[in-house]
Amino acid sequence: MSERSLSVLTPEMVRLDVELAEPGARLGAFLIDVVIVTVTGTILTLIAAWFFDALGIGDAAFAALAMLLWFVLRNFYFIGFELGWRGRTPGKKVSSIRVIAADGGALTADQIYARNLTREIELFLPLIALAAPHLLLPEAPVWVWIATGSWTLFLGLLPVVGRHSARLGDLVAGTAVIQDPKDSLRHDVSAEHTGAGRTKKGSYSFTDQQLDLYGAHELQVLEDILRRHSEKPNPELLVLITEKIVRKIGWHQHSRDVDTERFLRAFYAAQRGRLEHHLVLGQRREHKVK
Amino acid sequence: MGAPILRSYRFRRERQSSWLELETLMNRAEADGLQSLDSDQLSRLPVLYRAALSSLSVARAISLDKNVVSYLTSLAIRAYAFVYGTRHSLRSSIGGFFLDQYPSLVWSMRLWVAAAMITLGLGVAGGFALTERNPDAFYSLVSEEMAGGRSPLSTDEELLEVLESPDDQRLDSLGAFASFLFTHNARIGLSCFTIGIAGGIPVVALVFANGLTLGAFAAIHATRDLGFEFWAWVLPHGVTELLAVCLCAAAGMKLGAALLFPGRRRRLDALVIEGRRAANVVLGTIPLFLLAALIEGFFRQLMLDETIRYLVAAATALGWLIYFTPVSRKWRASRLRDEWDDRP
Repeated sequence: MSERSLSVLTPEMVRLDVELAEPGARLGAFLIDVVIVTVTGTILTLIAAWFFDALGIGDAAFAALAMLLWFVLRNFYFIGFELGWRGRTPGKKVSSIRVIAADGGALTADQIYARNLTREIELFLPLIALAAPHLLLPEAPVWVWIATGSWTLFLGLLPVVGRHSARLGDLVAGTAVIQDPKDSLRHDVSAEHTGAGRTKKGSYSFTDQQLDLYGAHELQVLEDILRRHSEKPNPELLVLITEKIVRKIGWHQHSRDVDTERFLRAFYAAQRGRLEHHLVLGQRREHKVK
Repeated sequence: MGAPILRSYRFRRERQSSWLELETLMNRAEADGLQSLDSDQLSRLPVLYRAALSSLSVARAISLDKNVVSYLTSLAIRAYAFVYGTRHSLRSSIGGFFLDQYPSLVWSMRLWVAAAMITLGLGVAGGFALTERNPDAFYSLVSEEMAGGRSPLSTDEELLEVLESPDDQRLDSLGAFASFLFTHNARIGLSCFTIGIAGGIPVVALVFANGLTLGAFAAIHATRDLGFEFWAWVLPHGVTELLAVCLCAAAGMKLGAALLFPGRRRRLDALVIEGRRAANVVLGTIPLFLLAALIEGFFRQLMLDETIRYLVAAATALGWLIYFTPVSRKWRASRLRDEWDDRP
């Protein structure tokens, strides 16, 4: 399991290894959301300004309303979308990432509140403090500026350096942001061997001794190579692999004399059958015999 | 001789139609939302999800086909997000939150709220005593911005004017004032929550300092027999606002306490659990702050009669008391029970 994955236990007690979202994807999603909020907020503010002007209400009351509007908008945008869209905002949808409960349970509404309200403290207030310190603290001394600056920097970097790439809000709420997986079901490599493409020319068969030399890791490397070969043929690589296998298992023919692709597919199928046989008996061999 | 079909491949062939069915549903749901599925498909979703999970468990045990295992993992994660993602609309979740969760959450931490109120009260008493004995203390307790031109040197008329002036020019600045107060107080509330993470002690200091300011104000009015008018000026919104500050402070104190004394939990776990609770408390105070700012910014400047001001203060106090204590929930529960009993 890599650094960037998280093991969650679903309520059905099945372990799922989920891939955590890249900090870049999260930043991208966040920027998209910020742009949407900013554009919406600006339009609403302009409409409100026009409306207030028409009614002849003073600037100050308008300023109050605008502040409130932005506060509500930037908080409830995230909360509303993550509630309604199952852990996604429009930005997250574009980046194919989503919020889940880090313990694998159901994602609850209060987790969403907590992770988004924390953003107010973690990001927006420090940003306001950086941009206009006098709004938050009149006569703010320089150290306030420095302190909020480093605080923002620290929290901004937390997803990059921290474990589980979590921001403070994720830690508080117990959530994780994951990459939406997109693996598709492909043909079984062993089935391609046994399927229609088989000729009468006879097939390769292997003894148990020959099959006991490799482990699951090598098998899956071979699976990858064969899959890639059917998309983008690479005969040289197959010859190279065949030579290696022929030497290792002591195959009776010279590697020149075998049809490499058919040989490798047959070997894959036989090898997988052998290893899966062991697997059912509770013996999983990961690596080859040296 | 043909190689026998692998057991894991047979397994896959038998099950893959249900996997593909789930995948089709997920593709639809992810693109167009769950509402694009009809009721049959919706009821199939959890069944197919559990089938995929069980296939995954089996595949892990018997299959070495990497693609099948990673495909099933990915399918299970996608379906998991739908089956166990939230399914609340913003409106229903906010409704449920304010009707049920929030009052009981606050009630469950009533001792902390009481502690915050006592701290605030001590601050008020301290500020009052200090300023009454030495009016110069006012300057160190109240920032210039808060003072709004009032000081121990102000004449009685000047003070009274702030308390009772309805003139139009002020009305224009009301909104700004309301917004200042809203942001000022919401900020105090949020800071209480944030620095609660720093151990809770700063929260106590902050609430105490806030109390000092209020006490100092009260003192410069009380020394000129304007105490009655002053409290009529403060209390209509003050009840709500100070309550909100105390709720935030209580949340921060509780968070700090959980961090200092996590008990049997790990510190990080304690932080997570209490943090979530505290965030909810703070969220719930937003409407309180808003209401306070509205009363302060608009009602108070339009209603100059002291009796009405006191009535409003009393009404808000009573309202919050009913809302936060279990009285209202008992009442609602009994009404629900009655409705249930009335059913034929």
